[in-house]
Amino acid sequence: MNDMILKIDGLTKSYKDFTLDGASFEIEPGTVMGLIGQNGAGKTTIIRLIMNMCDRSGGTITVCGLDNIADEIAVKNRIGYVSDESFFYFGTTLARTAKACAAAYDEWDADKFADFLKKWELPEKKKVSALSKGMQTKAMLAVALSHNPELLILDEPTAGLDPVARIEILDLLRDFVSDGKRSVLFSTHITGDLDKIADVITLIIDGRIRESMSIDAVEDRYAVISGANDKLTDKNRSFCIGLRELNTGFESLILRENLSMFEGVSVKNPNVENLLTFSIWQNRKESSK
Amino acid sequence: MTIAERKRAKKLQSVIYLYCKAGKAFNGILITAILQAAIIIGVLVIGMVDNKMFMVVPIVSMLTFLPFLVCLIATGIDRGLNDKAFKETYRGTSMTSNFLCNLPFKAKDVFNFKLILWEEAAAANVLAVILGHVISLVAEAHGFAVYHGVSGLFTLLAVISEALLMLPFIIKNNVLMAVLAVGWGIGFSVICGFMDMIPDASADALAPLKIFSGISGILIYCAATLFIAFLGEMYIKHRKNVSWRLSK
Repeated sequence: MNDMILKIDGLTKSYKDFTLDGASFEIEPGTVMGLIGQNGAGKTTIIRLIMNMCDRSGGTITVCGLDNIADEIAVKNRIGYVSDESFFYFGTTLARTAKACAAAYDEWDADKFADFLKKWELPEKKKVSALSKGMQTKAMLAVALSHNPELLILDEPTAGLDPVARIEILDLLRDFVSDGKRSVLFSTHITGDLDKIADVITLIIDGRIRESMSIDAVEDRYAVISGANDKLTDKNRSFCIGLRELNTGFESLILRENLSMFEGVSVKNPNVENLLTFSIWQNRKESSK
Repeated sequence: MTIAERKRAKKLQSVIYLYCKAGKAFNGILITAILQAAIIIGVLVIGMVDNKMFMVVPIVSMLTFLPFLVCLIATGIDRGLNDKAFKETYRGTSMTSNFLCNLPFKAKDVFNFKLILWEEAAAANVLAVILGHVISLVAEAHGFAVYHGVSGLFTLLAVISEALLMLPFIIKNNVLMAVLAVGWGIGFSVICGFMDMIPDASADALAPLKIFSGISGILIYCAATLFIAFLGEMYIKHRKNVSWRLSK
């Protein structure tokens, strides 16, 4: 097997009111991983730890086989990062930002950056403060992609983008990993985007990684069932993951191996949103016990 | 600071200069240096006309203080290189921290960048002192009473010693030598200030002004000493390589 682009092992970070508890997962070359979880689950903490923006309490992070702290400079040369908020200094222009990036990165490709600006109609000489949120996100992507990174880390990149721009960016991400050597870690609430491009889904709930599996494995392993409330019995209820009961009927995520416990229900393949929402509801149920 | 660290800090310096208004620190030091030169020339011209050349020394002293002030404002007062230093440093550079963290630099590079700014300010200070004294000595040689009697000799010694001490800084980037050079210059200049004051206090009609010039020179040198002590302290703490991260 090829070396992993990203390998996180037993990653721990403790804050006063939150603990990231031994997160472990890997990203193979050529894959797009969707990192999903509710607000405050620890997605951004993981990304900040990868970028060495805060100290970890324990565990290891390696990017392309390099430790993200010991080899911080080499690692950052290999990472393209798009944060959830614009990281640009508002008083400057994209032209000046490009010059700064050219001085910082070992492999800055000025032509590629210019191509992105042209493609997305981003004004080079305008101050960043004059750009819309969508334009700033595109500009961050342009910066992230123009130094030939091996790992692209995106923290809610498509929020605030119009549908056309979103689809264009998703296409671009697909192209990015198409050579089989580079990967994307994509944290988002817009799970529909992940249905379109993710190869692997990592689910994090309350600081713990609950699942890290391929999108195909999600369909192989889980099913979403729905039906009239009388189809739920005391016996089969315990097999539901995140049961949602309404007056008109119920809906739940279950393991496919437990399908035989439910008769007369509709079955469909789960999407990323199903996996996320039902897992969160299940977690709430377990927490309240 | 190792050579590799210094190189990265210099690289970061150019990035910051290109990227954001933290580049104002460099512009600020440059502008103050130009301003100093303009004021020194102005004082010399006025001094030649009215034979008040003795004013040059304290004014030069006063002006050499400016790069430190600019540096202090530009980089922020960051005395505590402690657990909070990481965050403070990122904030102090006026850059968006996410962008800075994104770039291939370590937090330590940011500290080194700040230290380099201070070193440059120290170098500008020493060079300005040397320049001021050289101009004064040239003027003295042309018959203008910049110094009085033996103080001119002391000043000459100060200039030579400062210049010698600055050489290691220029050649090997040794900041401690720069600190020593500034301190050395201050010591000599304080002696010169006293020597300028005392002999002329009785007969000279300009004596009160000379006394004022001498006292102001001494006070300013004292203040500069505090700044240099600050620089030294920062350097020593830097050498100890205390924790660079905000949270443990």
